[in-house]
Amino acid sequence: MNRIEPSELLLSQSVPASVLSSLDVAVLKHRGDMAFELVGETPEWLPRIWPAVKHTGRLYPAKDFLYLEHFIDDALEHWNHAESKWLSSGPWTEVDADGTDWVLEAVALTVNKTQLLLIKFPTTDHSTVRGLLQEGRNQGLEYSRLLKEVNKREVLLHCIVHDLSTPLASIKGSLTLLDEDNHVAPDGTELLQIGLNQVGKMQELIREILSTFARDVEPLLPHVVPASEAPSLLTCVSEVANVMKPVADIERVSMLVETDDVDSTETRVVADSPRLERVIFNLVENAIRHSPEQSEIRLKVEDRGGSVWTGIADQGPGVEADVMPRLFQKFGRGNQHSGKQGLGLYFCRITVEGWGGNIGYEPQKEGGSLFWFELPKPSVAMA
Amino acid sequence: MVRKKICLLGTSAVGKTSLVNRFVNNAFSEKYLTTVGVRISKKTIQIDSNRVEMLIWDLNGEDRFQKLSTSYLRGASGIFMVADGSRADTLESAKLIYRRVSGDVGKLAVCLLLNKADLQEDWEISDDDLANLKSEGWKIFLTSAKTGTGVEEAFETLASMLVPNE
Repeated sequence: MNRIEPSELLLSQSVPASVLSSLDVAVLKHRGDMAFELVGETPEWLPRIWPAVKHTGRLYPAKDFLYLEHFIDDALEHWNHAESKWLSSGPWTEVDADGTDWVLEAVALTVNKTQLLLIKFPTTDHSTVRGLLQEGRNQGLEYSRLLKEVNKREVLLHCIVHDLSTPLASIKGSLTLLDEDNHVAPDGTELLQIGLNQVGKMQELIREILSTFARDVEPLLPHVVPASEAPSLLTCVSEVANVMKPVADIERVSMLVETDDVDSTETRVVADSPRLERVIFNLVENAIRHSPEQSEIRLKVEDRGGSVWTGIADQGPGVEADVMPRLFQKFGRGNQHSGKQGLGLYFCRITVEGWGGNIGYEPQKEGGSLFWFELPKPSVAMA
Repeated sequence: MVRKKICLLGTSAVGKTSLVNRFVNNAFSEKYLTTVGVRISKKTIQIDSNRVEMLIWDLNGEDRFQKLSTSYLRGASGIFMVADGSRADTLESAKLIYRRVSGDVGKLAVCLLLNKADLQEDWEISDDDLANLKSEGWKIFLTSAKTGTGVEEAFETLASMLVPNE
């Protein structure tokens, strides 16, 4: 059942004071010069936040409530030039002598030329609203924390792979060449084999260490993707666009996926779906964050023969020139500080490059940013 | 005694209410309780020969769930823009909010508080970032409502910007 607004009752008819008191509303009549008197019975809760009501009939809410000092200026204007039925202060929080929070709302209205000020609990159930806000914000914080952890872990894994695997592969290659080309004297061959064995063990050890950090180590390592298992870039872009649409809607940004009639099977690329979607997600989220309201983000997928190209263009402020050279570096965030912890674009670069692709940024002539990446098709990668 | 209204603005969960609680009550709670609407506190401090009563308007954080009404800023003399230094995106939000409110209410005395400075391991604002902010004209304080670091200094600095020099 809809709750009746006390202000509606007052406007519609003459209401007995007893009815007003049952609505749990403090009704104050303006006597001029910012002085008020209570009409009807005093609500039980009122003295807890306004002790003055126990001692005097002449009340000065603007003096006793800091917030109402602000609102009563608006109320005076409303009483003198009322264009709408009533004026609400919006919610504010008052703390009583016990330290208890009271969320209240004031309403100014005129009834039969009498200027009235109502003090009441907000019509919308405050605890429900606060509970929903609290839950939403808690989840937002948790999401940010998890995203940060995931990105940190990804970067850690990539750093371990890059920093340890690459020199080890080089050592192994060099030792193997020495072995194959017989550069080592016969009495050194045994030592060479020991070296090769130890390098092999170290590579295995790295693999084991990585396995303890994450189950999905394999995609980080050099790999060959069979065409039948390769994800479609077009499908991933479309899925990310669908997932991000509610976020874009909230920010009042529209998203358009342009495909130029590309067949999704022709856009299979060397990648794995979860990471590919994360790369696209990072770029799209970045674009939404930088987009002004009522602007558009365009996601484009192009078949370029041996590779597939994707661009994400926004109508935001673009990237400052001095930031561009370090945009894809770790913590390469610019003055705009909007790249969260500065690892998102770094993650995108090392992931795309790990698949043998390229990633880049171009300012658009008409303003805004274009982030793009290009990945090889699996048949090309296998060749 | 001089009476000055100041407002704390920023996105949600950056620690605005905790900063006020630290400054006014010298207290801190780990529990995050979102602010609905406005909460007003006051504290009187001494700035040189002036007693300044600070009316501190702690406004609800602006995010996708709640928008900030700039009417709350009417009559304000100074603003604290508050960001969480362990979440760099909150700094961008603070700058966006400031750009909007300064367009609505004009230029006010303003300080930028990079809060949660106790979270060193998660800190996301580099020295380069700070240098850039300073070059943009921001008066910056690294604060921690939890430990109290920088809080009193920030409020006193803003207050001193609001009273006439002796």
